[in-house]
Order: sequence, then C-alpha cells, then structure tokens
Amino acid sequence: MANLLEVKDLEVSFKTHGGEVQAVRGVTFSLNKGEVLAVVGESGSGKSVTAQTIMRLIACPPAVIKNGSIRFDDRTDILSLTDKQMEAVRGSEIGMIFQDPMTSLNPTMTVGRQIAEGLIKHQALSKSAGLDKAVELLQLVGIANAKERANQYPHQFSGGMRQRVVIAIALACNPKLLIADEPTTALDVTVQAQILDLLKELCDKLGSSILMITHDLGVVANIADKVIVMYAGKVVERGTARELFYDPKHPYTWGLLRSIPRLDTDDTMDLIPIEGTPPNLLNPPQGCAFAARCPYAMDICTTRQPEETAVSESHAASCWLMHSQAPKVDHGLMLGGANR
Amino acid sequence: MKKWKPLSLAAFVAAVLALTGCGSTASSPGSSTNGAGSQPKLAAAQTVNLLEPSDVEGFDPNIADEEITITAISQIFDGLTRIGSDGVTPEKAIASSWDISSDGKTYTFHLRDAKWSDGPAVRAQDFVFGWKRELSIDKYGFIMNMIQGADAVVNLDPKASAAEKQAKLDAVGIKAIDDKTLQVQLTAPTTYFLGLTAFVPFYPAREDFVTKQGDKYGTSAATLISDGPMQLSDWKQGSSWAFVKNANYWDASKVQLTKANYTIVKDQSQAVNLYDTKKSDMVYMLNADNTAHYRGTPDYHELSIDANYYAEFNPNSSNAVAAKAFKNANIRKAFGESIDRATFVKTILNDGSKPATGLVPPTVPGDPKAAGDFRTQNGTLVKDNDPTTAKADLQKGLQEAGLTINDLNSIHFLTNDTSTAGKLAQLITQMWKQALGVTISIDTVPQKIRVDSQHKGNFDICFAGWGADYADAMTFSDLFTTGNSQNDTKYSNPQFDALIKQAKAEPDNSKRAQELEQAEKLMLADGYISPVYFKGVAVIQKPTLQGVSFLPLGPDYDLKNAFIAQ
Amino acid sequence: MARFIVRRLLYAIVTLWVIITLTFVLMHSIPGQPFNNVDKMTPTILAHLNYTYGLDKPTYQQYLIYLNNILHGNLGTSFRYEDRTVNSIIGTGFPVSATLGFEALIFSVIIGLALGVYAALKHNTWADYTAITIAVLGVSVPNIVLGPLLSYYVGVKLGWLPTGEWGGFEYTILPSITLGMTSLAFMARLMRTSMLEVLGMDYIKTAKAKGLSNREIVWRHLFRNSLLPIVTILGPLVVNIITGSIVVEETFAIPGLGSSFVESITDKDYTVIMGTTIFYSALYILSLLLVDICYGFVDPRIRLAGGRD
Repeated sequence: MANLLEVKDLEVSFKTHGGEVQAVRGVTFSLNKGEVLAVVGESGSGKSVTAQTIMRLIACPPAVIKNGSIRFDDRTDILSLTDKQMEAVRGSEIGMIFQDPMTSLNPTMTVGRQIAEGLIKHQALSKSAGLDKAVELLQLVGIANAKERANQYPHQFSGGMRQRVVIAIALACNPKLLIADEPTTALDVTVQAQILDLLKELCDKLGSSILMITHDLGVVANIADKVIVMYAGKVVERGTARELFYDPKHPYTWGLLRSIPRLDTDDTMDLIPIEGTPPNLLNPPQGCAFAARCPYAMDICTTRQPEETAVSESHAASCWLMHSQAPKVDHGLMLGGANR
Repeated sequence: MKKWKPLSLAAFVAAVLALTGCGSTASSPGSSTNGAGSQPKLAAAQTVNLLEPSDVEGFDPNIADEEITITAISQIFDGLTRIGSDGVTPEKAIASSWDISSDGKTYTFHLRDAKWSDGPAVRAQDFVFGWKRELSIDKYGFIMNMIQGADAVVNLDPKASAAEKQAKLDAVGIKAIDDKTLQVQLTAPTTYFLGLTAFVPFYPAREDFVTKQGDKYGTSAATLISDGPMQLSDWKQGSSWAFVKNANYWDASKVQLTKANYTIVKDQSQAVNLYDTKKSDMVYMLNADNTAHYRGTPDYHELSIDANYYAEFNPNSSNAVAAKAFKNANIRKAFGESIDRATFVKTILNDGSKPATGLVPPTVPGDPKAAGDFRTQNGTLVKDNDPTTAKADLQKGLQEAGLTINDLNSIHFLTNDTSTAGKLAQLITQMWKQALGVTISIDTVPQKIRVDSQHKGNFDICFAGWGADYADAMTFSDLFTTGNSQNDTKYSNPQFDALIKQAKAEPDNSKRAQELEQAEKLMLADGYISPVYFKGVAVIQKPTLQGVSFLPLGPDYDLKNAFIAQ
Repeated sequence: MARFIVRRLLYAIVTLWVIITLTFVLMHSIPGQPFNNVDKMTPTILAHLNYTYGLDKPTYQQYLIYLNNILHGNLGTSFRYEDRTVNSIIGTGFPVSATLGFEALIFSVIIGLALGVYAALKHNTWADYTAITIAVLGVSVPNIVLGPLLSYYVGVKLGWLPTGEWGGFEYTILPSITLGMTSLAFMARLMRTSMLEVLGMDYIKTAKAKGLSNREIVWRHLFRNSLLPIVTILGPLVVNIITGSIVVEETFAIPGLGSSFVESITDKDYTVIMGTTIFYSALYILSLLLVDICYGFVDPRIRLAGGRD
C-alpha cells in the first residue's frame, strides 16, 4: 500500500517568555491510503500540535518547526509549501474536524454557506451550485430537511448535528486525508458512536484516510487500523490496534489501558489512574520522559533515552524494559478479550 | 429755562484720563483718533468682524435688559442724545437742541430731520410711543423712574385691568408737542437725565411698524426698522448677525463702516484663536488667562467701566454667629481692613481692574464746581491691607460681641461657580485667615442661585457687584437706602436715607454732589459693605480698527465713528 | 419583531415621562429664576414677569400645563430669547449638532475599527503597540483639552484649518476629530480585543482548514463576529458623542443644540432646559432601540430571541 502521509523526525517548539517549550520532539509515523491511524495520548502529549502542524494551522510565531518533514501523497514536503500552495491543500486534499462542534462553526453564517465556502473556493463552483452541493452533503451526513437546515444558523442545531455539519465541511471536497482532532470528546456518549460510525462509513465510501487524534482508547478500538501512543512529545509505542490492545509493550500504554473501563468484565478490576503529571517540556528530562511516573523505572531510565525496539514489523516501543538485560515485569492487565 | 451745559472740563479730562491712563502701554483706541494730527488713511474694505459670547435676545429695544443685546441694539439706534467718543458726554443726536426748565424738572427736546431706515421721519411721537412701551413691558422700566407717573405704571399690580394700566400710562409725563418737539416732565431735577436719553430703553419706536409686526418686531432684519448709524441686515439666530450702514441715518456722512459681522463664540480661547487668525478685529473683556499674552502689544488696551465689586457682611444672617458678629462695627471693619486689594486685583483679575477706594468708581461726575470726578473729590474711603489695625479691631469687636475667634469659623462665604469667582473666594478667605486667623468656609453655587440667596438675605458674607445704570453717584448710593430690594444686608441708617432723599430733590448740582459724597462717607464708615475693586476691562483690538468708543456704562462700545485704517 | 419594537416604544414613553417629571421637579426645586438681569431685578418686576409666564401658579399646575403642551408637541417658548420657541431652537440647533455628531461617528467608527483590526492582525508588533498607544491617549485626553489644543496648534500655529466657527466642510474637521477621538480610541481597543478573541475561536481554524485565504477569513468570519460587541457599545457611543458635542460646540463656536443646552442651564431657562432634556432623552432612547434592532441583524442568535420575546 502506498504511503499517503509520512511524518519524519518532526520537532515543534513554542517560544514563550519562560523559554522554549518543546511540544513535539522527533515524531515519525506514516499512514497508508484508506487506513485509519489513531494518535493516542494525554493532553499535552503533542498529538494536537502534530495534527495542526500537518495542516500548517499552527501559528509561527510563537511556534517554530525546528526539524523534520511531512510528505503528503508522495509530493514535496508540506512544510516547504508557500501559504498560497498550502491553501490549495487545505480543505481540498486534507480536511479537518475539530473537537468542539459548539465553537467550530461560525455563529453568524448559515450552515449551508459554511459548507459551500470550501467548495466554491476549491472546485470553482458558483455560489448557488456550492449551496446545492452543501444541501447534498447535509443529506449525506444524515441531516433531515437538509434544504431548510442549510439556511439555518449553528445555534439552531444540536451538538451532534453540528458535528455532522463539521464533518460535511471537512469532507466537502473529497479530501484524501481527514484529520479528526478529538471529534467525539465534546459529545454525549450516545451520540459519539453515531458520529464515529458516520465518519468511518463516509471515509470508506470516499476512500479517505483518517488521522484520528484522541485520548479515548474506546474510540481507537472502534475505528483504528494502526495506533501510535504519544507521551511528552514523543512516540512511545506504535503498532496495529490489535497489537496495542493485546500486547502492549510500554508501561505508559499499560497505564492508559488500565485507566479505561471495560464493559465485558466483572468489576473486579479497579480503574487505576496514572499517578503524577507529565514532565514540563520547557526542560524535558534527560532520560525517558515517563520515568518519573513509571512504577518500573530503573536507574538508566532517568539518564538515557530508550531506543525504539521493534517487536514485529508493525509494532515497536521505546522502553528500557524491552532491553535484553532488563528484568521481566508483569503488568497485571487483562488483555484483549475477557478470556481469563 | 437754561441751555444744557457740558460737563466741567475737569470731569471731562478725568474721564479721558480714566480711559487712557491704565498703564504705560494702554491707550484708548477710541480717543486716539480724536486727537489732532493726520487722519489715518481708510482701507478699501470698511468691514469689521466682531465676536460676542452669546446671541442677541431680540432687537426690540424695549425688551433689552442684557449687555450683549444692549450693545448690539445701540449700534443701530440713535436716541435723543448719543454718548460721545469720550465715553461719557451726551452729545446731540436725534435732538438737535433742548431746553431745561429752571427747576430742572421739564426737558423740551427739539428733534432734527432724522429718518428711520425705511424712510419716514423720526417724530416726537415715536419717542412717546417707545418710552411708554418700555414702561408697559417693564423689563428695564424702572430706569425711567424720574419721569412723572412712571413709577405708577411700573408698580402697578400685574393683574390690574388694561383700562387701569392705560390710564396710568396716559398720566406719564411724556408728551409730543408737535412732530418735532418732545416734552418730558420729571419728578425731580435729574442731572444725568440727558445721558440716559442716549440709552437703549429711551430709543424711539414707530407705532405703525411695531403694531404691524406684533410679536415679530425685532426678530429679523425684515421686521425691524432703526434710526442709527447701521441697520440689521441678517440674523442667523444662535450663530451670527450682521449690520450694514444705514443710508438714511441723519449723520451717515460721518459713518465709515459699511458692514459689521458678528459671530457668537462662547469660549474665549476660541475667540482669541479667531482673533489671531484674523477672523476677528476685537475681543472685548479678556479673561485673566488671556491678558498676559497680549499685554505690551499694540493690540492690548485696558479700560475702566463704572462697576464696583464689594463684600457684604450680613447682620441679619440666619447663622446666629455671623449675625452677632456682623452686628458689631469693629468686626465688620476688621474684615474690610484685612483685604489686600492690590494683590487681589493683580493676581486674580489682571485686566485693568483697580483696588476700590470708595463706593463710586472713577469717571462718575461729582461736584461741577470742584476739580476732578466724584471719586477724586471724595477721596479714599476704604482702609486697605492693614492687618495690624484689623487685628486690633477684631479683638475689640469680639470682646464687645462676646464671641471668640473660633466662633467665627462657622461663618460662610457665598460665591458663584465661575472660575474667577472661585479663585476670588479662595484668595479673600485666605487673606482673612492670614490677617485675622479666621477660617471662613466657601459655599459655591450658580450665579442665579447666588443672587437669589443674596437678595433673600440667606448668606453670611457674599461678594456682589454693581454696574452703573447711569453716569451718576446716585446709581450706587440709592442701593443702600432702607427698603431697597438690592440692599442685601438690610442696611438702614436714617441719616443716610435723609441725605439721599435730599439729594434726589436737590436742584443745585453742586450741593447735590456734596450730599451724595457725605452719604458715601457715612455708608462706608458703617462698614456693612467693603468695596474691593473697580472693574476694568481688557480689550484686544487690531491696530487697523480705529475710532471705536468704549463706554464705561450701558453698551460696551460704540462703532459709530469706527473705521478700518490701511 | 414588530411586537418587540412596539413594546420597547411603550417602555420608551414611560421612561420619557419619568425623565420629564424628574427634570421638572428638580429644576423647580433649585432656587433662582429664569429671567435676565438678576442683579437688577426688583420684586415688582419679578412679580410682573412671574405673572406673565405663569410662574406664579402652583408648581403642580405648571406641571400639568407643561405636560398638556408636550402632548400637543409644544415645548414652549424660551425665557431668554422670547421670540424663539423651543421647537425652533431644536430645529435650528439640532441639524448642526447632528451633522457634527454624524461626522464624528463616521470618523471614529472607520478609523477606530481600522486601527483595531490592524492592531489585532499585527498582534504584538510595533504597529500594534503604536495603535494601542494612540487609543490610550485618545481615551485619556478629554475633548475639553483636545479641542483647544487642536484649535490652537492646527488652526493658529499651522494655519491649516479654521480654528472654529461653522461653515463648509473644512470647519467640521477639527471638531469631528475632537468629538470622535474618545469613541475612536474606545472602538479601536474594543475591536482589537474582540478580534483577538475571535481569532482564537475554533471556527477561525475551521475556516482556515477549509483552505480559505487570510483575507477571506478576515472579511467573512473574523470581521463580522468581532463587530458584535462593537454594536452593543454603539448606544453609549452615541450618547458619548451627544454629550461630548456640548463641550465641543462651545470650544469651536458651533451653533448647535449642545451649546444652547449649556446656555439654558446657566440661564435657568426652564423651557429650553426641559425641551432639550426631553429631546436628548428621546434621542438616546431611540438610539438604544435602534442599536438593539441592529444587533439583531448582525447576530442571528439575538434576532430570534428578540422575535420570540
């Protein structure tokens, strides 16, 4: 399968009065056509910054892209495009969905116009043709009375409906890649599944790849083909969804898995939060960033960064525990299906 | 009958000196052109541009009771007489001559061939109509109170019937013997009556025109006729008005100005800006803030006007301490003696005002047989800036009144809310504090409220001013007679009252002046009021504008002889 | 919408009535009388004048007579300028004040918004700081100071523009700047803050993600939404300009209603005080109503809420 997106050694920092905050510290991953890649991590792990850097939505200054490349659709580095060239990519080839549907729509513009805007710009449609297409898109994302609804304003829609509108905007021009930044976080649980289903269905239909930013492993399980886990601006583990759920290698991934409820087991297992807070990226630790919170941390963890160790062709993690001389530890997790 | 005789030469000189002698640089622009020497060349355009701080209230002379309106109207009307360029002497105007009866009570005026601006002749009947109209409208009617029967009209109950009012009006001693002869009957000989006939309330009004215009009389150029050097050509209410030369004026050949444009400019810094950018030829009555900038330039002049500003000490105050204190002559004296008038005039006013030395300001004529004006003749009656005496007097007074110095700290000073009045109150109370050790608090209120409280006697100490209604000491002395509505402190001295009454009936001018001088001495010695300054006026005037006469009372100035020099 | 407007108009009338009554009571409770020449007024003359003007009647009767006159659209005759009705004073003064106010409003809105937008788009650069410094200066220098300064330096020293008086367009420039400066500065600051706030909104990111150019984003999404808080202050702004014109008209010798108002207060000219107060209040109430309606047009959320009201 051909690579649609290839991010290599991406480093992004923010200049602040206190100094340079290293938000993304050498992130590498790739995404194939038609695939769904989930980026998982706590807030502050650099996942959103990574996503926004791909879209070049990040304001420079204060952000500085210090290193790395982002190759999209086998073309030149996105980071080297001019603003004008980038405008042609955004919306047309890469669409994006944001977290909060309540705020990601302009309150003073009709929904139809907001959808049509991108179409008019990228597909050189007339205003009325753009609006007609917008009505079709509203129907596509499952909004009844699309024609009337197109003339309404966002505040006349419920949260779930608004996210559908946002999806319609993002998918209006059949983008090759859809970046969804926590698309269900702000929604009611009952609506979340519907939205995810809709996303998956539409992307299948359109053949779009999805880069799903989330902290919710439930979402990952639902939708992702591949997963990368980020912590403190670095990828700590990568693999297929199956590998991650059934054979996690990084203590941080263990922690994440421990902290989600499972519906398929008895409530004998307590939910265990990860103790402590992520490190201050103004001065990232010398060794493994997770070491301070890691119950299995060894001396070396605080002094040297672990290398990425491959488990399989698709699975790898960065942890000293995977070193041949490291002691074997039991993470005590019930993994995969509730078969124990 | 005797022919009218001009003021004594001495009084005339004194008057001119008063106008010209204010500081080394100041000279009256009005008098300078009347001296010998070559007449300056006239400029091609004879237009003058002037500013006034508020609009004219109407050009009907019979409703005028306010300075700007009076000044404007006097440029376009002519009375029986007109004040000459010395600012004091009444000269022949519509009346070409007059006879005065030997008892000084009957005046017979002989009118010249003068015309109204619309053509018809000015007749004696026009004066009869105008003067009676003044009395019946009664805004400034009280100024005619020396005319027989005038008081009866003015004091008539407002609810009286029209017939009753007409009967009183018919009885007034104003009569047209024929078209050219006007006879006026006075209740007492009145030396200043001729001067008054130059004043706005005494202008003529033509019955046919006034009746035809009704309420619209004097509200626009179309509804006004006049008999003066100029006539109204345009009036944009609230913003500007303009006069043009009146071709029908009897003395038109002497009038050089062809046009006078007036703009209403309330803010004086704007007025000064307009002057500096040549949009205006004159600014009358500069504030202290602006005088310093122009003093020493040829544009700057200081004039004296007939106005006196004085402090009043109220023995009838509702404040028991103030009443008790000011019933005591020594305490009153102490307050008056401790004012440093020279400092006062210099630091607050700075406009040519002078420390007051008596009640009657300079230029007001006195005894015609003696030298000098009233003020020179009666000498300095005000004890100024004498803290030592003041302190001693205060001690004596406090003992007599059974008060302590701390008691006096409950006394209040009532003043206007204008900036000058505020500064003035600050300084005067500070002087009292320094000299007497008394802390007087200041009550600041709007002018109308100040006057209201003052006339009702609701004050401890107050600052008041009086501008002359006519060029005679009586206009000041009369205020302090028992029962006068302007007598705020309810001053009552039978001896003073008797002297004033005597002077009012006195046919001998010389004796009359002596009686008034004696009354002034008496009144000031009683000390219920303490004169502080004689008002001066600072004017800036373009050197090209010449021949303007500035008047110490009534209108501010007269443009009849003004012209623009090259 | 119609019901909303009718209801607001009813409120407006009640408000006006309260203002009329309060002004009447306050004015009559202050000592002093409305006639000229107070220094020389004798009790007889005062009695005559009070009789002529009906001021000898009990205050409640005067009040009822006044209310009745207002209902007939008659605001009375000035005490000082006896030939002038208050209606005619407003009729000649207001067009001048309105011209001045309108120019000042246009000036402050256009320059203020431009300055605010510019500052926000150049956020944290020297251009931003300069714009904000201008704005702070504009707010902190009152027009009673700015007017004379402009008149003197631009009018007298530089001689570029007339120092004052009222004539052609060149006469309106300095007063409009003076009158509009506070509003301009206020507007610039508010617009900048509002723009920065909207810039941080998610829907700006959405717009960017659509591939819109900066210019398209600024005009279609940023500007209109940033205007919302501006519209709310338009009411106070109009008042600011009305009350400001009272000072500015005096400073620049402009024959507007503001200077008549000031004069009437010092003169205690009852009818003119009442008339202009009523007129100003009505104007204010009306401008607030217009602002509310305007707001509905700019913000669809308010429009519907108002419609249901």
